[in-house]
Amino acid sequence: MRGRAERDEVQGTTAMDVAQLEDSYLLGRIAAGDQEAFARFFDVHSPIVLGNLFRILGGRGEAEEVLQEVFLQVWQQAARYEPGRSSPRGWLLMLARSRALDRLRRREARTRREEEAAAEATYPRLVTPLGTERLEKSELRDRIGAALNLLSPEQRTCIELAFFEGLTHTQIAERLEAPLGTIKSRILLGMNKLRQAIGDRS
Amino acid sequence: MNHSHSPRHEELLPAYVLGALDGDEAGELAEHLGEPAAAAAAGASGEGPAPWPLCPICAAQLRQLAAVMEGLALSAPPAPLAEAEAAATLAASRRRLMAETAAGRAPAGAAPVAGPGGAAGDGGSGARRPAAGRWAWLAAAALLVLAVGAAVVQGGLRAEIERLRGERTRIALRADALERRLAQVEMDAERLARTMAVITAPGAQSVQMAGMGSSHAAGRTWVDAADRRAVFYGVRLPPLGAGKTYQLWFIDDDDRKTSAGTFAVNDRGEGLLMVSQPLPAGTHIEGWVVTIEPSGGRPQPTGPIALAG
Repeated sequence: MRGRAERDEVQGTTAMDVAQLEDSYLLGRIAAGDQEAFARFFDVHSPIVLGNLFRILGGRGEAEEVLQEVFLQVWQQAARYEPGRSSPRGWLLMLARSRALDRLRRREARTRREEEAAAEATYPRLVTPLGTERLEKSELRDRIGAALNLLSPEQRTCIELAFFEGLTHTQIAERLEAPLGTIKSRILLGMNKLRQAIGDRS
Repeated sequence: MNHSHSPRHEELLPAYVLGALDGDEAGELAEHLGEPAAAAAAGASGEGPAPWPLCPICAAQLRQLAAVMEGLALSAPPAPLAEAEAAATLAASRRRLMAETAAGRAPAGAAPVAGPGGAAGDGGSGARRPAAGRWAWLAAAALLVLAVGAAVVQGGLRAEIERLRGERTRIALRADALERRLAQVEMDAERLARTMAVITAPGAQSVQMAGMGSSHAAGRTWVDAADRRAVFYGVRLPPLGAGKTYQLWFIDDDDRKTSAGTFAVNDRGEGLLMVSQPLPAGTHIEGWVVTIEPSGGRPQPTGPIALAG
């Protein structure tokens, strides 16, 4: 009950809380036009955003272009961030994903997808990545990383196709040549396992 | 919009945030959530100012799913570039972004102003005139042209003055609003700096606090051993009705409870309290509790315990 807390646990939680507090503070400063805060936000988060963009778009040039668009959007629209919906980093990553998927859809997709399908067997999609010093402390990533290992390979593939390629249930069913109902339940069960991993967070 | 919540909505939510729902189902859920169907693919990103779902059950689940999406993004492998190449890519992007944002935030593009468009009068030309009156007539005509021209120009200037006055008022109002926002951000920054100073102090003592019974609330206090400043941060604290407040207490050796201040929680159930006075020197803190008290707080705890540790 009351008394002393274990130091290790304290430090882990503190790092996470402090990182999120700092991000919220930085977004507030960016909304007020503070370029130094913007530079800091870029330095902290750009590596993981670039990793995501590269994963979705598959080419350095395009990933670099979208990276700049996304951060410019942060500069212009930081005031639109809604704390009730997601963390600042979650907001940033979803902005990046949304832009990258838009770009992907605009492309002549067919040939690229065929090429990707050939490369898929060797290139991992979701892994426990090396990150920046700050990302190393991400409890959220650790939890999701552990939970990903609990998914069946089929559930994982369906979630990856939706997340990284923006495919719908029907498109995934066509791609994998599986019944639509099966795809729906794989995504539902897989996402619920991941959600449980987050929900267990104390 | 916002039909009553059903288990089917909960089944659709995970695929909705992934953007994996097909048209009909995406539309059905978007209608329940009160969001435009097009926002479905954007998931939790909320690029536009779409209204927060009206259904509280879905809102809570969407928050959890937003964290899942964030976790998935964090689990993407790093860009398969050599370290130097990745660093060069990021550095080049950083340079361009710094250059583009160096001038500060651009104001919304002001519409180009149409000029007053001074019309030139045409005096015409007379036929034959008596020589004696010729110069007088020309002078009168010139005066007339000048007068007409001046009236047109003056009218244009007046419109321009009105426009500029309006512009000045708008800018002054905007400056006021920015000033207020700046003051707020500065206050937040100062509060955050003081909070961070306590949390990150080398000798900070931290105590974890938990909710009672089935409550999922949690909290933590930090005390900077050097100057006895304290900070409290709680999560998953339910919102309180009107006339109620959360109050933090520390407990000393003799089991005496002393108020450390009251605090409110935001819509995410988070509460942050920077204790305004240093804790009394020489007092050994045995523990902390948070109770629910009438607004303004009480000298001694009277209400139920929300957190203890």
